[in-house]
Amino acid sequence: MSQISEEIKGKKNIDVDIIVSDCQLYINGSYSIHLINTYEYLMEEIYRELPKIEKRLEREYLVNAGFAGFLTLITYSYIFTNYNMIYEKLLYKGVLSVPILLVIILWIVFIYGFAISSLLKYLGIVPKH
Amino acid sequence: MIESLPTGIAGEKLTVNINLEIALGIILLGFIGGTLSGFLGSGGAFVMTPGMMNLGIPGIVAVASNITHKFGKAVIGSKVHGELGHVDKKLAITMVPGLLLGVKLAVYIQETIFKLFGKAGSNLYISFVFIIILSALVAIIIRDLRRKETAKKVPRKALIDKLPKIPPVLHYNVSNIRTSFWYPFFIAFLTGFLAGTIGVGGFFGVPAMIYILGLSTRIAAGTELTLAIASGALGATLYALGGFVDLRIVMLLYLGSLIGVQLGAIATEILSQRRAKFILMFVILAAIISRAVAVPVYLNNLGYIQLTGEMIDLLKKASFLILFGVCMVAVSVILKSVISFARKGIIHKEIIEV
Repeated sequence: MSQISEEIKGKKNIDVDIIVSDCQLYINGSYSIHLINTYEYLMEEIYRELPKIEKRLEREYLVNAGFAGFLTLITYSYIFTNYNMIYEKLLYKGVLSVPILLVIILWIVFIYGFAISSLLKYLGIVPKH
Repeated sequence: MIESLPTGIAGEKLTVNINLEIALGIILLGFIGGTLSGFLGSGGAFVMTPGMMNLGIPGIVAVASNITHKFGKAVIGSKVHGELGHVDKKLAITMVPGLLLGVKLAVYIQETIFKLFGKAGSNLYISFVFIIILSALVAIIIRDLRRKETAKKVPRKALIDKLPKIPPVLHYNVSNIRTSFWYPFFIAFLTGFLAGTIGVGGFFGVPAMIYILGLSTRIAAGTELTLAIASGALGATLYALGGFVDLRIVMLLYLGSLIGVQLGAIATEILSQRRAKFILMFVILAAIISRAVAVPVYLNNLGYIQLTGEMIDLLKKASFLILFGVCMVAVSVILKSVISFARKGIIHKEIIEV
C-alpha cells in the first residue's frame, strides 16, 4: 500500500496514507470502505476521495498558518514594545539571562517557521508533503 | 519602533536606531541571505553582516546578531540532518572544546577592539577579515569553475592519511575515520574563531572536514550544523552579556530568512550546480568590493586619513548599492526560476522524478 501512497503523492501532490486492513481501505486513517479485491476498484475509490482530502489538507494548512502567524504576531509585538526591559534582563548577567535569549530565539524559529511552511504549502509553492 | 540601546561596554554609546526604513532593509537582507543559504547551503552571512553594516548598524552588533540568528537556524537544520543519520555525534563532541575556545577568543578580540578603537575600529577589523577570507574563497570557487567538467574525477585522498597520528587517536564510527584528536580540534577552533569574528564559520568547517578529515559531504554538513548550535549558543550568550546582541535585528532577519530558505531550497532542484557556483561567486565578490569601498570611511573615522563629507557619502552609497544590487540580481535569478516552474505546476513532478 505504501507504493500506492507514494504514487498518489507523486501524481497529486498531497499527503495521503493508504492502509488496507481487515478487508477495509483507510485513507489518512478516517475514510474507509469495504474492499473489493481488484486494483482498478481500489484506485477508483482512492481517486474519488482525493479531492475531499486535498480540500481538508488545505484547510488544515490555512488554520495552522493562521494560528502560528497569530502567535508570531503576539511574540513580535510583545518583544518590540518591551525591548528595553528584555535587553536589561540580558545585560543583568543572571542565571536567567542566557536561557531567556535562547528560548526566545527557538520559539520564534519554530512558530514563525511553522507558519511560513504551512502558508507556502497552502499556496502550493512548496510540495504538500 | 524607534528606540535606542542602552550604553554598551565601551565608553562610546552603542545605539541602533531601527526606523521603518532600516527595519525593511533588515527584512530584505534576511530574505536575500535566507534564499542564498537555502539555495547554496551557505552564503547568507556573507551578505547579512556586510549588509547590516551598510545600513549603519555597528559591525560588532551585526556579527553578534548574525551568530544569534545562525543558532536558531542550526537547531532546525541539525534536527533534519540528525533524523537522516548525517551527524557524527562523537566527532561533534570531540570538536566542541576547540570550537568554543575559538568562539571565546574571537569574542574577546572583538570586544577588546571595540573597547580600544570604538565602532570604527571594530568595523575596520571585521571588514578586513571579510576581505581576506572571502578573497580566498572566491579564488577557490574560480579554480573550481575553471576545472574542465569533462576531466576525470580522481578520488581525492584525505589529507589526514598523510599527517602523523599524534595521540590520543580516536575512531569515529559514523564517519568511519581514525584520526588524532588534535586535527578535528584545530579545525573546530578555526571554525569557531571565524564564526565568532564574522558570524559564519561553516564555509571553512565543512570543506575542512571533507578534504582534511575525509568525511562525506553529507556527514560534514550535518556535523557542522550540530557544531553551529554550540558556536551559535556560546557566541550569542557572550555577545548578549556584553550588550551587543540586538534581539530586534535577529527577529527582523528571521522574518525574511525563513521564507527565503524555503524558496532557495526549491531552487536547488531547478538550477544547476555550476550556475549556483557562479551566483555564489558574484555575491561574494560584491561583498568583498562593498567592504573594500567602506574601508576608507572607517579609516577616516579613526583619523588616519581625511575625507570630505561628500566623498564619505559617495563611498557609503557605493558600498550599499554594490552589495544590495548584486544580491537583488542573484535572488531575482533564483526566484524567477522558482516562479516559472511553479507556474508550470511542475515543481513537485520534477522533484519526484529527480
